[in-house]
Amino acid sequence: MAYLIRRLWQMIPTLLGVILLVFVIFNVFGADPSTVLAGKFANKEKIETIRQSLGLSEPWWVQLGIFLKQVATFDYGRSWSTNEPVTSLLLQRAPVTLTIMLQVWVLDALISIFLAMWVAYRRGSLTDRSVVAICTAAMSISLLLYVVVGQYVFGSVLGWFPVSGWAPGDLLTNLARYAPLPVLLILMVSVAPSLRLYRSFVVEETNQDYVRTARAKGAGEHRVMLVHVLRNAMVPIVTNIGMQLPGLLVGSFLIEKVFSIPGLGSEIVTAVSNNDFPMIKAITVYTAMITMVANLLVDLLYKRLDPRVEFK
Amino acid sequence: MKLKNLKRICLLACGLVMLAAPSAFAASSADMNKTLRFYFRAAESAFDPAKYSDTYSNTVTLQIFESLYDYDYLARPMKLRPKTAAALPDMSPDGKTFVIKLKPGIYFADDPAFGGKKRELVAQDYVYSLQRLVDTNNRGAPWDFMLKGKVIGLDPKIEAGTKTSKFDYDKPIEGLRALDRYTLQIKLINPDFNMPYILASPTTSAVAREVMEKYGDDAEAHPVGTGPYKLRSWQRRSRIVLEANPTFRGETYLPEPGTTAIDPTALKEIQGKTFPRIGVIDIRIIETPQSAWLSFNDGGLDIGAEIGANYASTVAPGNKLAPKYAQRGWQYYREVSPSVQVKMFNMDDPVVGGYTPEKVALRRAFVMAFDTAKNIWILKNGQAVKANSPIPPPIVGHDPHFVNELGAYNPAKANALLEVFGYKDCDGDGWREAPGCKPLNIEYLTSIGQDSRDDEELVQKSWAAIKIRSGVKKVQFPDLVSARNNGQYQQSVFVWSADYPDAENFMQLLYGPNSGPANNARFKLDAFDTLYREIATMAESPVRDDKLRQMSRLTAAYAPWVYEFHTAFTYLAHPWVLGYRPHPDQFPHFLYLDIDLDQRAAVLGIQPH
Repeated sequence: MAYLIRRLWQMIPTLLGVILLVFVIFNVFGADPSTVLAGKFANKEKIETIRQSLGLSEPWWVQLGIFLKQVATFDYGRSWSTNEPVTSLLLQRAPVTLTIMLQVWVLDALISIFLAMWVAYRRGSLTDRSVVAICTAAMSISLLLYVVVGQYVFGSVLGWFPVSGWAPGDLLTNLARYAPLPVLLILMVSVAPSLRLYRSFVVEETNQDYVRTARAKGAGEHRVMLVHVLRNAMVPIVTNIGMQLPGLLVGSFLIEKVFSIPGLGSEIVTAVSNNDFPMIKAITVYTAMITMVANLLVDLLYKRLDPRVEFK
Repeated sequence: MKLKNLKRICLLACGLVMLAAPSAFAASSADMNKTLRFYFRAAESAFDPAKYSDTYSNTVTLQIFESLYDYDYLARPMKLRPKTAAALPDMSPDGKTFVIKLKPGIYFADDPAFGGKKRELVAQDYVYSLQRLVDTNNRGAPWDFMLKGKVIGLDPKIEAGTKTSKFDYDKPIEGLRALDRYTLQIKLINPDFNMPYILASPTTSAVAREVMEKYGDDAEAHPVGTGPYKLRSWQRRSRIVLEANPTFRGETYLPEPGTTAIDPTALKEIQGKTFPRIGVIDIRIIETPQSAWLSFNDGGLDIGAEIGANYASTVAPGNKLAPKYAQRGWQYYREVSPSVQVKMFNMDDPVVGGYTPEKVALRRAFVMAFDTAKNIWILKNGQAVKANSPIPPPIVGHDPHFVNELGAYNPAKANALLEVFGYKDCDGDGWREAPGCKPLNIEYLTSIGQDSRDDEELVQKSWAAIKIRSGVKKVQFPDLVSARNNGQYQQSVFVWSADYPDAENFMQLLYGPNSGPANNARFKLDAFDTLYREIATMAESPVRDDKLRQMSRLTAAYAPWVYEFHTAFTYLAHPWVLGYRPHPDQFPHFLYLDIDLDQRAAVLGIQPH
């Protein structure tokens, strides 16, 4: 419990660091969106009026204070480009991204772990070498190519899936109709590196003395692999899976753009290109929070997977 | 007694039927089973005509709100016609006073803001809505240039509103008045024959004050207008669904008297029908050209508007629909947009700016070294037409026979010109120096985040062809706008789309006193400015056209702008879409469209909803 409280307490300075970093980056390197919002014939007075309405004319410490208050109240105001409340925008977009990315996260883990166990068990065989070669080839191709070709082949030529679209608020339709192709294409890219990584973890474990001991004691191969090897290999695997958690929120902007999926990924890209600071602030802070929470959860899981781990 | 009561009931029922007549009329014209599937290639912002200036937000507001005037759907060139106005404005001979009568019996869509009553459109709604355009509290009033500096008494009101952050809508001004329930009067400081065009812009549409005050900041997500459609649902930047407005009066198409070039097929398809015919308009945001193309090709979209340049050249090589698509009965249209893209010099810059012969020679040398035809093929895949003047084809004042002879591609001549004016390679490094052997390196300013590498390369190659060093500076788009507004650049790219279809809207961009946010090139030439002042207060005429040609020649001669092209867009529609023609104003006019449901079902195998 003391460990948990200490870790939660440590999150505050980390979050403050993130807030400061975002604030400095935006104010030093970010462009002033007022010039664009002012439209055609944007004279100085008009730009100044917009700056005032956005709070950009306030001294930096006031702006920073507002940012801190927004983080504390979870209210980031309205988007500068669309005037929509940021919170409602995030609440609308996050479930869409999760509809895709949760499936990817779970399937990626299951497929990668299963295949990693399989090829590690047969390491050195033709199967192992073939899978590794396919993974290397798959990793060498850009997601963009998968998406463009996949959309054309599976969506248009074969007609297995719709080429794009989304049914707002209709989870079943989305799961059955619009999500499968994006999920499939992301998996084609994401499984390869995970598989190679997990294979190396499993191979490393199979070389350990305890595996030989288990076999010497007459344990069957299934028991050796699934109980002894997998449990020990799971520590680094869980770390990797945990590190993917923040990615669930931000999603894949490319997939969302191409398939017209109204998720957070495409919203982030739009916010950055429009210098929509309220949106950027909210997404950065929430991503930082999720990263910290994910790290904590992974650390707690270590203890569950390996009783020798002690919290200090 | 009973008979008397019965008569009363009958009379009452008849009265109720008559009262409900407009609603019943419109409801019967639109078939709610008909859904048109359309797309935008970029996201909308929100639906307040005064606050947002992007094309896609305006496209939606055009369907929901109504301006006093619009353009005949089929007439080419564009022809103004009354929309909520009863007739074209009654204009005083000096061009300063406009009196506009509204059609009575136009109603806003029902909304709780009206307290359960029918709300009729009146002249005061336009007084209020036009003032909203200049209220800086409306996101800085991006459209204020339409009226600012023009309407008597409006500028002091804007100033007071900006100072106090509260615009006084109730304070009457001489220039903008409702003379009675249906009569609007606009009085101008100077003659402006473009005012009717301004009153045809979707941005000058009528909104109801009660709605704006009830919903406040959220009014832009709650548009209530008098137009043929209303907002059914909206998932921002993803999907917009419009449905026929049951209180819409219904409309039939009749070409305006004196209209020309009416497409007979389109006329046949829409004549005699009451519109709207289509009950639901389902608009999706599809930002990647491949997705849009595949969606249209597979029948997921009924209309493929402004399809990507790569696909356009495949679908219609040589601007003719390929046989395999023609066999499918596709409709194909190519429309040159009312826009111009130019390379722009900063005339205040000590190196590339100025009006002395050697500075003019430097810019003209670039004009001759810049291969516009190649540019059109590389950047636009041929989906553009060469610009010979600032005025695009669909705009009043455009002369199709005008050729900019100074814009001919001729690098040899450009090099010779530079030699004559003292741009020589003084140090023998292969690059020219400025007269007096001063360093010469031109910086081309553009924005990051755009696929502009081809454009940058072409500019650098053009400079290299005349042995002048150049570099590219890429900044974020807001910084690009700011640098151009403040004259902190040497050369940049500039695109302008018409706000109203008159040459003045383009020529103002080179008018000396507009230097800065409007005249980014900071071009100041007395001869040009004098001509501008004249054309700005003249009605369309051969004399005015001649002055516009003179202005185009002056621009070409001094070369603050290097004319590039007017973008052309390709529009496709499936055979079951009836009455579709892209309009030069670039907005889709859903009002006049219809769908042959049987044909669609036969081709697609299903009836999409």
